Amino acid sequence: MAGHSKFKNIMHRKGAQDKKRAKIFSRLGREISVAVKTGGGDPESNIRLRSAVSAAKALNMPKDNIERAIKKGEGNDPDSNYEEVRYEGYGPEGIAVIVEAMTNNKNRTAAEIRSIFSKSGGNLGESGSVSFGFKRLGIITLSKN
Amino acid sequence: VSEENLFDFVVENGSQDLETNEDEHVVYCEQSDLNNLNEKIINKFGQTNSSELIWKSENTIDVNKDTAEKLFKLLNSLEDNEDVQGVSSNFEVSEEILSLLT
Repeated sequence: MAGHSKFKNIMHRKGAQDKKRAKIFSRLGREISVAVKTGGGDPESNIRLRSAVSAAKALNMPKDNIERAIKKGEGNDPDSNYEEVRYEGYGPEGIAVIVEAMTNNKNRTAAEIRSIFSKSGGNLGESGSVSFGFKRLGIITLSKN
Repeated sequence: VSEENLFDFVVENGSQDLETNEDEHVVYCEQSDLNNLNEKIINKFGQTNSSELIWKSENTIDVNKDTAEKLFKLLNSLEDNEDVQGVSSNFEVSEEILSLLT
């Protein structure tokens, strides 16, 4: 995992910056919407929302985007009715991979994830087949200087 | 932020582990402590770069260059998928291979 977080950093730095940024904002936005949907729109009483907003601010997500994501979580639009799903699979040489997704269409997402795995010579496993070797942990990063 | 100051502070405040790489300090904690610890670090040392929940593997597998190349392609495609929020894996890779591939 040490290698993994380093890998992620480097990829994010070297990847197409704007595309990654847009992607990161949409990801943070979904987390905020789901946090609101599950625990309400008040950050004082909703730790997950507080945490999501703090993560969004750390990455300089514009305030408008944050507010829009909160509104989305409060609304009833079926398009923003996200569900959390976890996929567990194996990559080359049996390397374990856990994928967390938020989707408004589980069938579509499952098909896409399955196809990404099979294109790389990997495969999706049963739920629970991989995650038993992993621990759920919080991770905080900060710059050295 | 010096590693020593940070280490003392996070250990007293419920962290489980601290790693430092070329650019960043990486603090690990129980998922229930994440928000609290993040707020404490921000108050003490200033804004953090990220705080999130991840899956950390208990055992890692070392990968060679060939495998790493295939694996990184897979991880990148997964990360690029619109519905994906996060990807975790149990590989370990050497600095040399990492710098060859990124």
